[in-house]
Amino acid sequence: MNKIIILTDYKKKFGSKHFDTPYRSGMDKKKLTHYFKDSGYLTEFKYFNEVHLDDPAYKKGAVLYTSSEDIGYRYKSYIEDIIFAVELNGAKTIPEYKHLRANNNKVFMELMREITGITPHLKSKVFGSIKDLKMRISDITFPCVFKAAEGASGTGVALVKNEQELYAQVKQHSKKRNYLEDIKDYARAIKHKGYIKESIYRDKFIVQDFIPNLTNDWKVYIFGDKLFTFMRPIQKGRGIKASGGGYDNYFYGPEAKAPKGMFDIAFDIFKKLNVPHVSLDFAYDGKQFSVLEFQSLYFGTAGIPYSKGYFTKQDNEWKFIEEDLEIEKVYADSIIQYLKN
Amino acid sequence: MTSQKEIFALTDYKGNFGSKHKDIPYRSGMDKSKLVQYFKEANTNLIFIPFSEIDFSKNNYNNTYYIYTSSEDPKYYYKNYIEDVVYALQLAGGCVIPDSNFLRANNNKVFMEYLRQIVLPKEFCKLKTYSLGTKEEILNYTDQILFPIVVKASQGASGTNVNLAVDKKDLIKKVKKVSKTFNLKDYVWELTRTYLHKGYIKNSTHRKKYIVQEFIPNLQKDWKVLVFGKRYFVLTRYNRKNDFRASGSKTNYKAGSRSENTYEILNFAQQIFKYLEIPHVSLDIAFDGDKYYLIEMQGVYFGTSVINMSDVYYENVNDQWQPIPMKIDLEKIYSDSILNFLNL
Repeated sequence: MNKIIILTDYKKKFGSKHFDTPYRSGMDKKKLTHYFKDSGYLTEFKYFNEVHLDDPAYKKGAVLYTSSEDIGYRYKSYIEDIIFAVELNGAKTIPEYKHLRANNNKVFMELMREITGITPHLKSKVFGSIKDLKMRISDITFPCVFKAAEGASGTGVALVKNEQELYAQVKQHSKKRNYLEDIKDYARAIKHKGYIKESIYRDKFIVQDFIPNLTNDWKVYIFGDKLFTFMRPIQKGRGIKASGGGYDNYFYGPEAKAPKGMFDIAFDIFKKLNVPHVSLDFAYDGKQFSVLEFQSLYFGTAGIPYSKGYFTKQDNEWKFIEEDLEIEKVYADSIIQYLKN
Repeated sequence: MTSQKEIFALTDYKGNFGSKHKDIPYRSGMDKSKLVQYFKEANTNLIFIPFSEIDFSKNNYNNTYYIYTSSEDPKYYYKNYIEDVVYALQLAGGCVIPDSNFLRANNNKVFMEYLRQIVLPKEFCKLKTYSLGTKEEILNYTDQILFPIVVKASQGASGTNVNLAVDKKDLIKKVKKVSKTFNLKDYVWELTRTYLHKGYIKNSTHRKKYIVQEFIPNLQKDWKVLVFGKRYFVLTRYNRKNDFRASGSKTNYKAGSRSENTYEILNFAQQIFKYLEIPHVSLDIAFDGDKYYLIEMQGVYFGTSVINMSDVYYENVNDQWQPIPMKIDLEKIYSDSILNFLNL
């Protein structure tokens, strides 16, 4: 029987699941074990801290892993070290490390979007500090969308109309100042002629093209050959943000009224990314589709229980199949399909 | 006529490139005009651009050479951005020097420990090391640990956040110290979640990564070796008074021809360097009278004070270490290492 290593965090949590029990405990590991076993795969759950690169499983085996949304992404940084190392060591990390790097990191996600050529007409610029932005401010067209690198559900996202508003957003979304460090740096500038002080605002961010007149977006998940979708109207008082509007306010499956062609584009992107599953945020202005964001792991999965079914392509047509599916089954099937291809 | 070659050098938002001891102005890095001149002498055009000018939507970066700076900004926020850009360049087919693995390992001891296991044979990974992400994780290993043991925060240089734990209780205390992320507001939220949701497990309040590493007893000193291509620079460093740390001690430093056990240490450094496939490296080496140990390595943006302290550097000619009087500057040493690495 083929073996798959599944790496969990220090709380033994694996993956993201809406309506998980206990709260924020992730996927049901017993169910995952059962579904993988049904398809001929033996699973072994391990903590990240139990990874030993000498173990052959981490040299040529398949390794699944969780990410983390801990505050400050401290633990996520540790996970990144391990997954990067396991991948360099020769193991098949699913998905590849670059997708973990892009998880809740909009700067790297944008760089990947450009490299992969995902809806390239939507332009973004990435910055590491307010000083980087000031160097390239003449390249920015207003209005535009500011997005802090970290954050989900529309947090750290704002429409900005001019330079002043953009600088204000950068400052607002920077981490709290460390006044002791600032004083030390100020002292350096006094002591050493010509010394350039550190920028106080060094939290990375992106500036993205604004697409006017949108009233909603669409979320599309693809797990292997199953596509889930829901439409998110922009709720009153949420500005340009469709994300974070509340799951009970969205329209699922056929009710999402997905524009023609969106599923095919989504599926092409899924193939291009070479992952078992993906979550895509689509905008459509009546002429063209734009992928605003994508995540290839540890994304919200509420659309699965809410959708009561999924789309799949049969005879060149996208058909909706009514079926209540568990996330563990959907996830395991997508991994197995990925491994077999 | 030979065609002009091109290398791009990526600078931070201040326009700084690299690390240089006694730089002018302070903390401004290497002298860029000197670098341009030295590369030009090798018929290579060196072009400085800031990280923020990398634009994958406009330019093709495939098969282009990039050298880059790292950053030691407080909390490494800007370094995190640099990692994104350099890794993306590598994924886009750019030839980044050194490989982005070494940038990830720069001032990140957790990843450095993994990287050394991947790129070096076992003989250079003798020290038993646990790489951990939270305080709670050490509890799985306390029964198998031999004391005393060294606890190092993943971030940090010059011996900062490096502690010796003498027993289990002390170990937990030191781990708490290096891994603390406690925030009262977050903790109150977490407590609320435990009341609202049965079975909810709180996030750890200690989530800064760290390593716990075997202690080598009875060491009084260590060695810092900088390798730039063929050129080796060596420094013997004695421990701080009543301390086990030599790094950053500034105690009884002996560089160049005054260094101790020089040829043995250089041989060990050379063995390591040949596995790394990078133009330059900084190695911290220990010798307990019997065995040599690699304590740490940095492939990018390491301190270069050893060069300023040295009267000679060493080259291995026909299996013999030859001391060569110092008559060159850091920019020349650095440029030559890159040009040799690329065979330009």
